[in-house]
Amino acid sequence: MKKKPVIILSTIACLLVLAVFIVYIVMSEQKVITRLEMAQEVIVTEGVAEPQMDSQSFIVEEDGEYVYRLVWEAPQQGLITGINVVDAMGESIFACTAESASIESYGIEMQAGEYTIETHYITNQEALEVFGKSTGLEIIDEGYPFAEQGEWQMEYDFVLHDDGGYSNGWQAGIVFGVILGILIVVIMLAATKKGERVKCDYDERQEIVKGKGFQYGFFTVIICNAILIFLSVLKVTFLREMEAALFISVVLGVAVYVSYCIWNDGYFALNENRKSLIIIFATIGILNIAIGIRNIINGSFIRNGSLTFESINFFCGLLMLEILIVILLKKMRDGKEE
Amino acid sequence: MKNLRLKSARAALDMSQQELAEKVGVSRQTINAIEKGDYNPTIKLCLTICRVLGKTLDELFWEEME
Repeated sequence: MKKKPVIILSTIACLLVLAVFIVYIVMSEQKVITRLEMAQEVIVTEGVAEPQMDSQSFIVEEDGEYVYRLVWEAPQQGLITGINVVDAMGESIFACTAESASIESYGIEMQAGEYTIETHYITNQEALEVFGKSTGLEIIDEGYPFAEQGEWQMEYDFVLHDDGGYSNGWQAGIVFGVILGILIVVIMLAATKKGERVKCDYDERQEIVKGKGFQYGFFTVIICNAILIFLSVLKVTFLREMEAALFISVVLGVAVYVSYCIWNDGYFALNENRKSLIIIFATIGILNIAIGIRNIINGSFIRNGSLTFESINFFCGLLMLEILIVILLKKMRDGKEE
Repeated sequence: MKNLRLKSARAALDMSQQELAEKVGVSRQTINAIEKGDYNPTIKLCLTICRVLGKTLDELFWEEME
């Protein structure tokens, strides 16, 4: 295929995808079912909170899927808030714990009826574990520094809204993001080609190198997945979230493939502009590492002792960095040989 | 085994590895690998190199048994 039509068509497709996504988000209306704004002064004396909990009832009029938006911020460390939403039978349908939070729940299936939202003020590990048991939440002892005494002026904002297509918004965001990403990669690949052809031209030796690289990359992924299964059987919590674990496995496979190909001069096609590609890699790497560092700072990199989906940007950034280092080392080795 | 005949044929035409690679349609590293004996080219590539350098297959790639 010719370069110019590919770039023009991909750019138009990018704009269309963006437009559809914006329309989708704008059309996703949410209806607020109940909102609880609450200020509470919590006094902790000898590890006991006063009050220990608050609760408020609300009515859901229609069966459906609902989403909770929960926001609160503790002025200092030492107090954990546990949120528990229970139905008329007293069964927990949603629960979470945090010192401070700004979170959206997943879509919760609720039937018409009366519900109660409980706010628990948790001041020791034992109480946290009791809360976990009563709500079915998995509690991991991370040595949180509970306070023996102090005062907390807490402000809570709990909003229950209907789905309105919003809980699908995240998935839609991912789908649109992936489509957009593929289109951008197509544009970049076309733009980094010398001449008019978009397809990568490799010579026969490069094809053999690439085949060998694929083989090593494939076996790396197989070995990583076997290790992941083993760790899962051993219930190792660090790689409990499969999205992150599988992404690391893919990153390692790609790293082995690309490194082997670069080292054996099989990575860059004959009609490829290396400099442009290196600049793209560096840009993607820097952006992803920056997002990764932000996720580390805001605590979403590791949650409940496990790497999260948000950690994949950091690993993607590391992959780009590793590729750049291999390119540099290869250049140095070639320089010495010449 | 190094292919010194290819290297000298290229040098005789005052051609760099890069120039030969461009004329043959392969990467410079592939020409380098052939000259160093690290890569055995297919007959198709051998013929292309011979045509560009104005040599026969025997002159560039045939190894006499000692």
